Amino acid sequence: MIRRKFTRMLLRTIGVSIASLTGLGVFAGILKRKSSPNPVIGEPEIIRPPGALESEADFLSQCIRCARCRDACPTGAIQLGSFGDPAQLGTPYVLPFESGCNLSLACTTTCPTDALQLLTLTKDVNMGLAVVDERTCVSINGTGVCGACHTACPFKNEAITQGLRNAPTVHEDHCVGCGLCEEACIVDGIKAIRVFSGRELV
Amino acid sequence: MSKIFTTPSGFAGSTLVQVLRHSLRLVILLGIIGTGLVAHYRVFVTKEKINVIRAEVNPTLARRTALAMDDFFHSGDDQRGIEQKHLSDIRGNTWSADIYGFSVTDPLAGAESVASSRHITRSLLIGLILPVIATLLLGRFFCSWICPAGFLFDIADHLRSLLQKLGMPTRQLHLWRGNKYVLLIVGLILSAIIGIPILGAFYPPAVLGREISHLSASFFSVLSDYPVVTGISFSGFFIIGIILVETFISPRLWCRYVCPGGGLYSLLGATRLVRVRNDLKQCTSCTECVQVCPMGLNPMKTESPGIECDQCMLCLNSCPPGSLTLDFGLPKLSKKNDD
Repeated sequence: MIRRKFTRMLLRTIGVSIASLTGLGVFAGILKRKSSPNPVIGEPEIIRPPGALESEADFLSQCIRCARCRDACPTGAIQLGSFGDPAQLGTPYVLPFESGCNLSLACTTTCPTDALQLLTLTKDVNMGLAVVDERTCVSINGTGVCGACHTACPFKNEAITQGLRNAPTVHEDHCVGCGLCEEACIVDGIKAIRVFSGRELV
Repeated sequence: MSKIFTTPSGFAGSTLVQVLRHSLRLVILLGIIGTGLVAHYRVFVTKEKINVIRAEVNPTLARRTALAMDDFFHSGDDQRGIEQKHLSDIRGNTWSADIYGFSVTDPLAGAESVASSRHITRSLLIGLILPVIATLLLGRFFCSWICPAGFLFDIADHLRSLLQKLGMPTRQLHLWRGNKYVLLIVGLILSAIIGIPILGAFYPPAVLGREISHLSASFFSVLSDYPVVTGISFSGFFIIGIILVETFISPRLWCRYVCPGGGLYSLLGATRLVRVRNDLKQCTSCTECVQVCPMGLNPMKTESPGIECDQCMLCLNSCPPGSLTLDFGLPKLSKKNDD
């Protein structure tokens, strides 16, 4: 009787252990999967919040997915990855066409593991680079006079300068990739000025 | 026994302590919901203000109320350059919280992050100080005093006993307790191999905090003119699943047999200073404490329940001869020191 009970217990234990390990493995597979293309931008691009570690692998290994940066963000620019999102589950990313980063740097002060490193100067932020699409930009293709991106830019006349008919020019060494220009852009759908982070996906 | 101080009998086991314990966890659960809502409410109001300034939207009555409420929430700051503390300065959840700039991080989060990134940062170390010291002193107290998921599982326990009273058949499935240590070690090794912390993805307090953050963000997004419901993951169903399983199949399945965080807390609190002790001379072996223990431990048989005791103090109240006491004392070094 005791032997039978012991065998049953052992089988059950082994079963549960195998089931949980398989579950963990599947989970690891889901987390490790390649990012799917962003449905709006069309390219697998993730813009991480300010101060994110340069290497994507380092960032993913240090971030504990605690959502503190999201709660701290005063503009709601930070989204958390969920199933089907370009970013991995629970990791923070920015969608500039919804809401740009206003460089309050609140997220860098609250990160518990320094996955977002503490920044004090807004010019030290390096989230990406804004790129103007000359085919759709109203001021460049000649359909109007706009200048919305220049108005929104926190580094006016440094990161974005205006030319003929307020046509914007982005200067690489001053642009921090905050995405306020992309949020402000008046073009419907895919914006005429977009931020690219150039992060290598893991 | 190197006992230093025994809490006066009647206090530690009193109903007051249980009420305190439950209300503390309820306050923490409501606090996570409340701070999440306040944080995303401020985002919503800021965006509405910008929209009103841009004259993109009509200031309806609801919006005007929201803007007036915003002035009520933080009156006087920013203009004089003096930052006042308000509710939205409490961020995060029990997985990792930022309470007015004071960082507290779950030891499991720390262990995972260290395992996957293979180095420890200063901020993480600062956040780990308080939880680790508290666990070394008090043992696995997080599970019964703080964990908001444990509060939900407690409700499942009560639901279970209610169903039993109504005559519904419920099963009693028992598993091996070592499962949680296996899961903890395998999870940490897997995290180290793939370089991604994975235990937090299904650790119930972390899942609960993340889901609440998602839902509060989505709630205000739905209210705005451009609703973007992002970030609803389906891990909330996981917690509902555990609650259902615990109600019908196995009581306290997660906390007793599976939880990797509970395993880490147990290991950290192995030499805890505050613990339940049983005076074997007075014990009448009535098994009241065995029936009441939510962790399925046996405080009756030995002098002190093992490392998995979560200090809920329910057994103290149930003991008729009063042989169970909550003692403060140094860990026992050898059996010969017993008095």
